[in-house]
Formats: sequence, structure tokens, C-alpha cells
Amino acid sequence: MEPVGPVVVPIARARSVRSMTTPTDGDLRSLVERARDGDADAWEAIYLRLRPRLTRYAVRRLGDVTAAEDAVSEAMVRAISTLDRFRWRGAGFDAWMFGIVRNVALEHGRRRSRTVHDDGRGGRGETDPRTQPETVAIEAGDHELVRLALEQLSDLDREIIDLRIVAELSIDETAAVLQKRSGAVRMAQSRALRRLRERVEEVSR
Amino acid sequence: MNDVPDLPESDDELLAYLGRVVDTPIPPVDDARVAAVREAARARVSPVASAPAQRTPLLVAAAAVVALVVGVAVGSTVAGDGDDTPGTLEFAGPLVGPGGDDQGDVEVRLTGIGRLIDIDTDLLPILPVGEFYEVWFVAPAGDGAEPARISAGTFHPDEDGRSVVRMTAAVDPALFPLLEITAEPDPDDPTSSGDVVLRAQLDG
Repeated sequence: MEPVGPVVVPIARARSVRSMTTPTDGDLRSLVERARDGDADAWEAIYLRLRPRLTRYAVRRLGDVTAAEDAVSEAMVRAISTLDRFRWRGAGFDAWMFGIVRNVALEHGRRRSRTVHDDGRGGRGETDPRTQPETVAIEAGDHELVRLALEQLSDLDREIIDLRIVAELSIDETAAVLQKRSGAVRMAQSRALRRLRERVEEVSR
Repeated sequence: MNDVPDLPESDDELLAYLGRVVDTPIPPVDDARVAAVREAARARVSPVASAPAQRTPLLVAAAAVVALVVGVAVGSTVAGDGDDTPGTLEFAGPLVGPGGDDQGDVEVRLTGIGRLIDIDTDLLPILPVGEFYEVWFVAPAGDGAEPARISAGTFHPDEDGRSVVRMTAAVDPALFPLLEITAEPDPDDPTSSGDVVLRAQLDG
């Protein structure tokens, strides 16, 4: 077996999107206030600003890019209709939007789980040979092992990690999305990361 | 067998590492979806604006969702408060141990069938076979009298030591404002052992 070389992962990736497209919180506040007046340009700007993170998070939830884009589109429409209920106190606009996307993704997931798949496919990666430990571990580099371990965590553990690293939300924002206390999210994150470390060790064996 | 990856030690460093490792590519922006957002914004402001002769299916769907979503938003207020858990959140706070330290979390929601209680802790020891933990709602009693108790049910941690528990109880926290979790050694004794391992003050 050939040794696996280091995996080159681009550093400048989505993690910097938030800072690149959101120079100041004042810009977002201005956009939201214009959006309250039904400004279509403001809504487009909000959509383009948040779309990368919203879509990546929805992909992680639904496992399908098209379904994720549909979920984000539906979430935008809901946000447009319910913006008068949004207030700036609390975790802020990003958390509010991710809360809507989360609800839409949950609904989509429930609808999909009620659909019988003739080919017997189950949920995320259940029968995907790419995620079977025996297959992946043979040729896995470090990153692939970590990704495999991450996929084997519970849904809640994965969601907390996804909200932190894919949605790029803070602890407080994540707590708002999950409707939990920040302390509870901090504890849950710590537990999830501990279980991830344990799982990485297991899949490496 | 692979070498165990050398993961960063701190949680913050591990999160940063995961942010680089987890790759979730998405397609470029779809102009039709942008147009649907703009259309939904305009439809919200001018619901009687004249419709163009032709609409893409996505725009039709967007307009339909706008018409429906107000009802959905109202419905979700009644059915739940934004996540997939039914009911209205009444309390969310820590479960504290005998020393007053946070050892878990509890949430209490009001539903049509009573209170929904969600407990989350991984610090309760796994008990011997036959023993279990019991959740109580407790009403204060004056003058040294025994407080009134209503049991919400029993549980035991899973094999990983996690206790993620959901129970229902027909109880009003306003009348029974203290939640206690006791360790119960005797399955044949319906009364509380008095060995309180965790508690939460629901009116705090």
C-alpha cells in the first residue's frame, strides 16, 4: 500500500466568506431595515451574503445540494414574510435566518424520510460504501479519517459542530438557533468534540 | 491500520481544524433563485401587483409560499417555538449537583397534554442493575411538613453514561417549582429515597 501523502487543503475557503462579505454589522443592520420596507435590492443582498453559509449548512443537514438550495429558497421566502417578527435583541439576524433554515430542513427531512425508496437506500450514508470504515480506512489520510469520524457522530453532535464550523456561528448564535442556553451549547460542544476525538481514534484502528 | 491523526488539543483549535477539513462545495448562484427572492419581496409589499404573463415554476412556488407562510408562521407559534420540539418553552436552565455546580440542562415546555421535560446530562453515574433515577416535581411545604411530590418518571443513563431524557408530566411548575432527580435503589418502593443527585429551580 502506498503511503498517503499530506492532503493539501485550501486555507482561504468558506471560513473567510463571512468576513469578506460582511464588512460591518452596521451594513447588515442597514440592509435588514431596508428589507423591512420591502426593498428587493436589500433582500437580494441579504440572500447573496448569507447563501454560501446557509446552503452549506443545509447540505450538511439534508445531504443533497438541490434539496439544500430549495430549503434555503423556502427559508428566504419565510424570512421575507416574517421579518416584522424579527428583533435585534438577542443573537442577531444570522442566527434568526439559520433558525428558519433549520426548521425548513427539518421539515424537508421528515418529508423525505416518509418517502419509500425502492432501492432500499436509507438516510445519510447508511449504505454508501464510501463511508464504510473498512473501505475508507484502507486509503485514508488524516482528513478523510476525521471526516469519516464526524459522519459517525450522533445527529445532535454533528449539528452543533456544523453550526459552529459550517454556519460559522458563535456559541450564542448557535444557542439561539437550537433554543438552548449558551452554557448548554458550550457543554454539548465539548461533549461532541470529545466524542469526535474518540471516534477518530476508533476509525484509525 | 492508520496512524491516529494528531488533532489539535484545544476545542477552539479543533473547531478551526474541522473548518478546514469539512468541505461542502456548493454550485454558483442561480439567477432564477435570486429572481424568486426579489419577486417574493415585491409580492410582500405589493400583493395586488399585476402578474406577468409568464412565470417560472420557482417564482410561482415563491408566490404561493408567501401566501401560505403567514398561516404557517402563526401555526408554528401555536405548535412550537421554532425547533422540532412541540410546545412552548417555559423554562431552560441548569441542573445543579449537591455542590451547586452545573451538571446538565433541563427544559420544560407547555404542551396540550401537560409539561414536556427534556433532561440532558452525562455526569450521572451508571447505577447497578435494578436501580434507577427518578424525576420529581416538588411543591414547597411549610412548617417542616413533607413537601408534595409528583413523579415524572424514571430513567437510567445509556452505556456511554449519557442521560438524554424526555418525559411528560401533568404538573404545573408554578405549583411545583422544584425539579429533583433522585437515585432510587429500591424498585419496589414508590416513594422518594431522598437521595437528590440533581435539581433545578423552575421559578428562578
